Amino acid sequence: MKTKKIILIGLIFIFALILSACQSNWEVPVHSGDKKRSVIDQESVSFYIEISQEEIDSVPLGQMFFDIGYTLIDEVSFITENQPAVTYTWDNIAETTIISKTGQITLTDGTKLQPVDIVVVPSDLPSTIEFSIMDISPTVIEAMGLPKFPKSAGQVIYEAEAEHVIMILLDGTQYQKLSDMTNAGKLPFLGEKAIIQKGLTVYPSISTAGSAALLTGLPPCDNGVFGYGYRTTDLTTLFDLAVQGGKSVIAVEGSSLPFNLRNADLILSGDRDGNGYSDDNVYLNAMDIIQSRMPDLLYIHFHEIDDMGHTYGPDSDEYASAIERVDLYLADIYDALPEDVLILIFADHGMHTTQEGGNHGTLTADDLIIPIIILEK
Amino acid sequence: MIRNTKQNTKIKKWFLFLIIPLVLAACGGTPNVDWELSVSGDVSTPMTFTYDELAGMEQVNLDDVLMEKSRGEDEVRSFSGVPLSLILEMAGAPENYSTVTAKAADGYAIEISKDEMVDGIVAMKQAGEWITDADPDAGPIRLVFPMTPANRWVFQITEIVVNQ
Repeated sequence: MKTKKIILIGLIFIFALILSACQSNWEVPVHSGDKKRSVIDQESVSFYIEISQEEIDSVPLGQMFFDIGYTLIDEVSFITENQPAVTYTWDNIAETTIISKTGQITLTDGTKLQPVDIVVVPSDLPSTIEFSIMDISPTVIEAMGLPKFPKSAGQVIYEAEAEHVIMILLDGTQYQKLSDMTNAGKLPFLGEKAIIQKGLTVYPSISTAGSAALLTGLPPCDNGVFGYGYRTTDLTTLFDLAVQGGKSVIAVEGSSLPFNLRNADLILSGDRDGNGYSDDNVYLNAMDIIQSRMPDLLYIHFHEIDDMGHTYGPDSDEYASAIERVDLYLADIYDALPEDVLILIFADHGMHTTQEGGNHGTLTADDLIIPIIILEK
Repeated sequence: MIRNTKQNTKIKKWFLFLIIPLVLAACGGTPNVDWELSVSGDVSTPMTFTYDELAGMEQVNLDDVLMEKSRGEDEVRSFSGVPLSLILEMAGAPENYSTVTAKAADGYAIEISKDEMVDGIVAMKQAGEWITDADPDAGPIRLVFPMTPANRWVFQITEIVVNQ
């Protein structure tokens, strides 16, 4: 009887040892020619699985690349044991390639890999991009003479003092499309008045994460807004600072907000006329505010470019028409503004083409590069 | 026999005195919540309702409501609360209003059309339990629109603005 007990305890001990061995941390080295070696490991993948607002068992590989400091990528090679390396153009696999808690990578076509090494060829594009979505609030703060954020990843990209500041968010506007249309003479207002700068938004390239980075001047790892399902941050936002500094803040939104705009006087613009569009209502409300009670800080959010991008794709006529309509609205808004105004026009993320139409959220140039325009009146 | 009946009646009385408070305690009286809901905009009588006042108004049940989510699995939950139509009627909203702007304490807001609001309530309970206890992040009161996807249901509702 005693012998049986000892054997049983021994078996339990061995079983526990095997289990703990199976659960030991894995890590996959990631390196590129000009960048120091880093790793994707079980702890970091598990972190993003645990903080997700959804029930998931894998995370986008793009999330892990962004986490270790990559932004735009040309190629990725996966090296597995006893197999030749397989190389992919990142844009072709960025949308759906995921990595699980065990380090297994599932590619867009369902191929499963257990890499022991990942080689990344970063894109040259980031070296041509000077600005970030996180620079916008520090620039506004400087212009309004407000106290700075306690911590910020952004910088002041335009030195100006202004009586009023107006921030205009063009949701889902791809930098390349806006730039091409402007150069082709299709956008009279932007063509005449604006220099369209390239900026980078944060990953995931979606409105919640972009709005949080915009309003806090910090990336998701610092502001805690990692993706879908988050709609607020505990950190101090631009609007908090403005109101604490005695400034008036009005936000003109569409029929809903992608992210909570605490401390702003909210003016919503649903489709009250029932014509199927909300940007015309945003435009009318914005014009009314400018003409009747222009605040110190006015925030205007046009949504339709994003809506058309999702439904028809960024190469569609519908997407281009939505941009053309906004260009007309911008011209009227500019004319209606009083003197001594700093104007910042920007997107929260871009848009890429899919089989169904369009989408965003990936670590690709189409989604991550945003237009940033600064004007004075 | 008569004595026995009297004794039984006495026991029954004591039993009721004991049981009724117990049942009430178990059911839970209105929680002590400091919250107000204002109704303004295109209405004839702008009003503000306290949490207690809302709890004392007509309550309707919405059983097994499909919560259609934009991401993740849909859910089915039951709610009860004050019909939004009653609140709008008390504030004198016109028949032909087009939308309502609903603002939350956490800085969220939506503008929702009349069609989306059919059978909507200002929910105070979820599955029979006060939302302030059952789901504090969503409460103490929230909007529920059974005909509309759940991403349009506003948590922590503080302000309703009627738009013509």
